[in-house]
Amino acid sequence: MKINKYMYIFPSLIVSLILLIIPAIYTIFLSFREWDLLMPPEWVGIENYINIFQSPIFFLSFSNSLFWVIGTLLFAGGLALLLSILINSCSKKFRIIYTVIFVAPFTLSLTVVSQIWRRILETTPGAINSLLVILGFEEFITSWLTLTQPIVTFLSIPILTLILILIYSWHFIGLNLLLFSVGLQSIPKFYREAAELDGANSFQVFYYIIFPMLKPVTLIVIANTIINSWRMFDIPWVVVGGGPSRMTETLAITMYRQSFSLFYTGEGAAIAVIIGILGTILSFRWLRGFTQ
Amino acid sequence: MKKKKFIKHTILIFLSLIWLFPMMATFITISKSGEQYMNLNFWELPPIFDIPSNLWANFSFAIINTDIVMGFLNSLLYASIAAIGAAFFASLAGYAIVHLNVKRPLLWFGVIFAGNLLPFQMYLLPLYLSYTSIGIYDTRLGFALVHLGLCIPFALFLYRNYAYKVPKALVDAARCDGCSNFKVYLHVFLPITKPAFLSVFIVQFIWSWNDLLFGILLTERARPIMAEVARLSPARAYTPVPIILAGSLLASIPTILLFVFLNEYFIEGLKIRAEK
Repeated sequence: MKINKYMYIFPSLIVSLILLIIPAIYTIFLSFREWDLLMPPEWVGIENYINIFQSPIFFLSFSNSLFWVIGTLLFAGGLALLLSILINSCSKKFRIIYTVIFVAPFTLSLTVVSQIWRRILETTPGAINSLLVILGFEEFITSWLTLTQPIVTFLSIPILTLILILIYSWHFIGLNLLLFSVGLQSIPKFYREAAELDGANSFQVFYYIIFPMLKPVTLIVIANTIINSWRMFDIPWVVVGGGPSRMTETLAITMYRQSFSLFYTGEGAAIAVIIGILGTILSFRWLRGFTQ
Repeated sequence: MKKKKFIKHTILIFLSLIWLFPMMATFITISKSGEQYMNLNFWELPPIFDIPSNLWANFSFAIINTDIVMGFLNSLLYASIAAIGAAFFASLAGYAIVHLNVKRPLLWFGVIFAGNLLPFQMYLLPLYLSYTSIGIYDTRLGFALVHLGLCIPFALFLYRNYAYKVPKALVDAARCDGCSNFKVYLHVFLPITKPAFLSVFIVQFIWSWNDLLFGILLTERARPIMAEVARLSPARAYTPVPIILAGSLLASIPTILLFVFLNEYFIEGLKIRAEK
């Protein structure tokens, strides 16, 4: 029996067309309509986009999402680089111990991580507040899950968003650490030794030798972190449900709420389109480095 | 030099303690009964003789009285179908695109791979609307299909990369010996690309297992595991916190095992994912 060679492509093609490509195009179409799933849909042009750009909830969740990208680059990316350099200069025994400690949280799923951290941040009985009691710092006891004071005043991003970003970093740093370690181990030892012989101090060794050699891995880490944090849903959803009063919502959560709790499907679709366009631009900017 | 080493280890030990803190909190919590959790200080251990019976009670309660086990079995099904199916479909397409002289190989690849460039939010509304209207909302088949579809673009990407490493001469030689295209695929291409198959399988299995978004969107009773875990809360059906964390740990067993035993394939897959 002879199989047409296009039949090999067919299964993948048909599944991704029906489940991904056509829905994505349909979402763009939906974003120009107003439809609450009950009344007949109505064509409204770009009104949905105008509405969301005027809505304070969208503005806050947009700021939160941008803050997520910056925060995770800093704490899950930057800190991982620092850690991997420190760990790789340890003896083998310590290297394994430290690596296991930092990678362990990565084997848990984000939902599980969120469930655990929720219990840690809870006011009572919560792990952090109880520790403060034991150590005698009772005046620092805080209701961590309602810390909505702004951290970036003019954007009114709540401190709680930063806490959620730190939770993500706790989970994700292990993977970045592994990637950086692979990169570090591929740098030949004599490069460093030669630089040190020439009298370079450790900062110069880092800046002129290690960092340029790590560029490919760094780009992987940056792209990976941006892709994951820009569409962050799980942590704010499970830890605080995007609350209190929708203040920690990311774009992904706002899109979900508008579409499936409030049934403003047009606005939901418009937010999805914005996430899609900006997400593609954000990641392409960094991914171009690979193709060159 | 000594001083430098001291500073280095101080930083590392300090950060290690922070990283271990939630783990310790989890283990202390699951060794308590619900009542002890409410009444003792969070960091106070229960009487030592209570610990084994508390552990037993928490895990067995999580297994018997919550829906964790059902979610676990559902997710085993979804993740297996999605991961094996995606690896299989992608191997077929990758083989044809690289080795079968199809016209416009880049176009086929581009169309399928485009699904991987867009954030999931672009798919949610149409999937929800079509699933509810054709009646496969909250069915196991429908949900496994979505996960399969979401896995294919990346699987093909990885497979296509790997397919270029299979020597053309080998494929041609097999064909000269009278093998049909499908026989070459089965006896030459698949065995050589086994590492790619494993990478796809692991990355996609873990992805499917950890997915929460599609689980809460498309299921009500046929929930995957993470949708069940996310629903655990003291407020609902009075589930005490030690039981919630015990159930969460049970839900993590497969990903922990996969990562411990097959982490090199996982990291290989992720590196390639990031390079897309």
